Amino acid sequence: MTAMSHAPDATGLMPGLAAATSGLSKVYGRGDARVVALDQVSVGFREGEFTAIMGPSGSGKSTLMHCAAGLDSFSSGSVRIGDTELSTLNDRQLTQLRRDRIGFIFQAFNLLPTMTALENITLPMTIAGRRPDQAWLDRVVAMVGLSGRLGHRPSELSGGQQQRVAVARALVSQPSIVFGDEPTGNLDSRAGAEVLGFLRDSVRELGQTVVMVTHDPVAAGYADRVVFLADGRLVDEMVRPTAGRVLERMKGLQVGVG
Amino acid sequence: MFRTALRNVLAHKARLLMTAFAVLLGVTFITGSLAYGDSQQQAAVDRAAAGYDRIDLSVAPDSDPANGSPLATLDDRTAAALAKIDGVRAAAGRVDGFAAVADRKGNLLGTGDFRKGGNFAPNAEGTDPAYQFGAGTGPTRKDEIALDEASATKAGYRVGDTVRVGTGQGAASYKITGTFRTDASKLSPGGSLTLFANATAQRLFLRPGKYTEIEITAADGTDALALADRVDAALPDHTSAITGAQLAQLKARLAASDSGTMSQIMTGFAAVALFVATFLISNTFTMLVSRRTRELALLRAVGATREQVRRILLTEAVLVGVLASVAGIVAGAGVTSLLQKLFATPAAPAAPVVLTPTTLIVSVLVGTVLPVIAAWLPIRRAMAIPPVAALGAAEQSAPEPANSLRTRISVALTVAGTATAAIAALTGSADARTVIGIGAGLAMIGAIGLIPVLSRPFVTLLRPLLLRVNPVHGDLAARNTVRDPRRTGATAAALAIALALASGLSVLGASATQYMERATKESFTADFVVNSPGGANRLTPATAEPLKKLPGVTYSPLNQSTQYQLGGTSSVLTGVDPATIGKLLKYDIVSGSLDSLARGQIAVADFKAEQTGWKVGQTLPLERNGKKGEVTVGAVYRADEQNDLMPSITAPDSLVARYDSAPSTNAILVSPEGGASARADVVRALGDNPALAVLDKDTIAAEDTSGIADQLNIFYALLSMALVIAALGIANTLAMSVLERGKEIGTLRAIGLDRVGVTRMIRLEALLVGLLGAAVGTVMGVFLGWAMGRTLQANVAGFELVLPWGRLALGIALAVTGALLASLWPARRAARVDIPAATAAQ
Repeated sequence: MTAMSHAPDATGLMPGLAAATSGLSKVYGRGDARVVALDQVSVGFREGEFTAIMGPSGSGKSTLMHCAAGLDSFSSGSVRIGDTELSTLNDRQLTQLRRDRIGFIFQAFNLLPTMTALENITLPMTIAGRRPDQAWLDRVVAMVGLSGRLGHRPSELSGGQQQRVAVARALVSQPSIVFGDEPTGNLDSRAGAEVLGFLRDSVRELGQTVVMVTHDPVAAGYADRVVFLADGRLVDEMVRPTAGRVLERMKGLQVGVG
Repeated sequence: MFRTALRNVLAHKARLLMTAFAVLLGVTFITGSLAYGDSQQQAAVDRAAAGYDRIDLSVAPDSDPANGSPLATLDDRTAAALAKIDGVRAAAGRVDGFAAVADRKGNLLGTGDFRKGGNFAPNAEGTDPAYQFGAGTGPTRKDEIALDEASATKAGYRVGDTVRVGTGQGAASYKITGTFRTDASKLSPGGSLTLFANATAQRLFLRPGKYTEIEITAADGTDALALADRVDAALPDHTSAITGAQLAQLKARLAASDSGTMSQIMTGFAAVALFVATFLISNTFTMLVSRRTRELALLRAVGATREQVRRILLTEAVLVGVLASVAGIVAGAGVTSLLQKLFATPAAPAAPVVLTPTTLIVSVLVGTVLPVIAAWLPIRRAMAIPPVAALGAAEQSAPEPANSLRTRISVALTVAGTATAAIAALTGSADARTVIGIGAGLAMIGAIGLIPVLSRPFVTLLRPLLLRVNPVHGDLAARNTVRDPRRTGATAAALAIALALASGLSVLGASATQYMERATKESFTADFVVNSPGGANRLTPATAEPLKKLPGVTYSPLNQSTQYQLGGTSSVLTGVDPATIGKLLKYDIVSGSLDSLARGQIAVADFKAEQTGWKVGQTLPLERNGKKGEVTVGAVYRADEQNDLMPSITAPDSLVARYDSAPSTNAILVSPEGGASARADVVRALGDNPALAVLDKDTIAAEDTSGIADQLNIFYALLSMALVIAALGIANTLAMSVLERGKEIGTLRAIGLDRVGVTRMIRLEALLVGLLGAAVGTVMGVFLGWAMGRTLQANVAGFELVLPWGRLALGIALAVTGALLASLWPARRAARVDIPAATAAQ
């Protein structure tokens, strides 16, 4: 089950790919305690596409995202963001890459409680020592509907509003790719639907590339494409998914694994 | 229940370690300061009581209860008679006094009051059991001495060398016949002891044939108490015998009360330690419990009652407290031992560490009770939150606002304390010191309570500067510092206390030093002051006589004569040479003229004239020991009561001589013809006597102020320990804060802050806390120094407040350096956070 229509060839990245992994493996421990979290995963994320990574618990979907986003190290294989090979970068270069070319949305929002919504949104630019592009900032803020709440602190915002701040933060530096780790996991279905709507809009309207890890078939239904992981291996993918079809596929996987 | 608590304790090792570390530090500090004082005191007592086991009985004349002078004398006959009593093996007469030996460069051996001379009293075998000779033998001829081994080694003297020895009877050259060891009853640590032949010692220190004490050794198998009765019966009137054991007890008791000052200082210091430890421990426990709100809510949600949860937490606090206290006591004993080695002086060498039951109880109580109290409040707060709400709050709860009641109380305390101290200081009477102390104490407690409130404006003030230096990390650090003002305040408080005391003492010390220097240098114009080193030697008017031989010399002794009734007031008259005194001492005449001294009149210091209401021209009745007469006040001069040199009543020598045949010469003022460079002439004229110190102005000023410097150094040493503890407290708080903010730091790392950036952020946080503590501490210290100085100003003319900028800056620099060092480990931990794990954390 390694059908990989988008696999990059050995010579380089296929044009139009924002990020790609090739033969990516991550192994914890040795000997009897050896656990393979990722096993030879090769996957590409096309520019301007909304991809969902799905799989049952322990399938390695979060690890895949962490490795692809330069948050975690890997044992072998290759990860590229644009044409940059991550395994050749040191921590400082990796940090810079994340800052300049990657946006993050976390399950638990991860806003800084000491900063206002606006300050949180512009934080990646602040750290980089750059001024945000005001027009772009206005557009992003307007898109996520936060215009009236920019002066509020996270503790004064609802969960949905906090995640919208996080979405804006991920988009403000115009990264080449945005990674979301269960971005709707802590939200009720209405707030979740809003956030997913924004992510889809950012792809449709702003041409953003988005990769999202989720276990929720409804969330996956917003994506252009779903890739399925099980036991650290890429097992399937689905183009133009619907919640129903994803649910069906997941059931198969659960049974298969169980 | 106990098992749940134990499992909780073990489940969070890092958290546990840091909490235990805080308790350990606090307990170490307290144990250390208590044990240091106890050990020093015990050592002093042991030294005082040492050596008396060698003596079975000691016979000495009783003292006159009125003035302490002996009521009888002992002589060779008494000693011979005692030796014949049944059961007495030997009776050795003892006589001692001041004796000074100089090394080859002319510096005196021994320190302070511990320059002693005694007699070598050989028994039938020709040895003296009090002294063990390592080389040579005891002195038997009048030009021979023996010297204690330590002094001989220090000066490089050997048996056969000739040395100058000065006593109250002048100086002479002696040949060293031997070097010896003895016990602490004869020779204080760091002192020097010169043994003379028996007759020589009697002549020098008492009168020929007389003794001050007779030491009796009992024959084997004789009971000392029974012997005492027989000896008592044979003794002349006003003489009594006590056993060596009793004498040892007596000396020990005296030593114990003598070292009272030291233990008072140490008790005060232990109080500071307690204060700092309280902050450290309660701070850490507050953090610990608030961090666990969710965990507690979960326990409640699965069915534990409030009571049970409370008991788990309290058991945990006690468990951590007891274990850490025990470790802290061990560490405290280690610190004491280290401090003793560091601050050992010849006079107070390092002693074994003494841990009294009080020390142990106080330490354990502080180590266990404080965590429980510190845990109590946050537990109550945690219990007040409904479990569901606590579980729902995935985000860290918003920082609590500084408690307004607490703020109000703190403001009230600060204002009231400052006002009390300031008013008392400004109206300034001598007994205002207690009021100032209380006021300053209240103000300090209030100020410490206010630090949380101060942290926000303080950071706001520094923010522009911080942003200029480092816009990104500075901004993050500033936000983190003000997010929990109470924690920031508590962390800075320990530092503030240490620095307040240090800078307060610096201000006081600098002011006192300047005052003393000025007072010494400006009070006399003579080139040299001759006095007795350490004040142990009694000079007499005759001491100054040989100066007459120097051509062109100007000199005058200051002959102090006591026990006068002048105009109905008990007075001390100082006899001077009326012809020369005006050129040697600086008289600031208020009224009258100093020439009146030559006419047999007296000059009176202004403070004395004010007390008595005497005026120039007034004639007063004068009486001393039944001798009566009259004297007229010829002048009033300005003088400082605290100045040793300036007399309260100056009288012509001839007047004093008429009333007192043996006045005590306080000092001799000399200006030789050759001026300040002719010191050698003066030394030679006075008989090259090591027992006379010929001092120029600078030396006297340095001597007067060296005491202050020494004391300050002890305080600084102790306070540096407080500083270290405070820095470790910062490290601990930062480490916990890093642990608590793992998710935030992970997020910052994910969205683009590199490791260096994280390190910088934490370092700047430490810097801000350090600066806050240093600023508050220094301001408090300067106020403290000013207020205490004011009380001195009231009765010490010319005392001015001196701000030792260098020292104050050094204190701030040390505090900030300590804070920065404290941030090393937490910053490293923060920089190495595991991003995926941290960002996913709830």
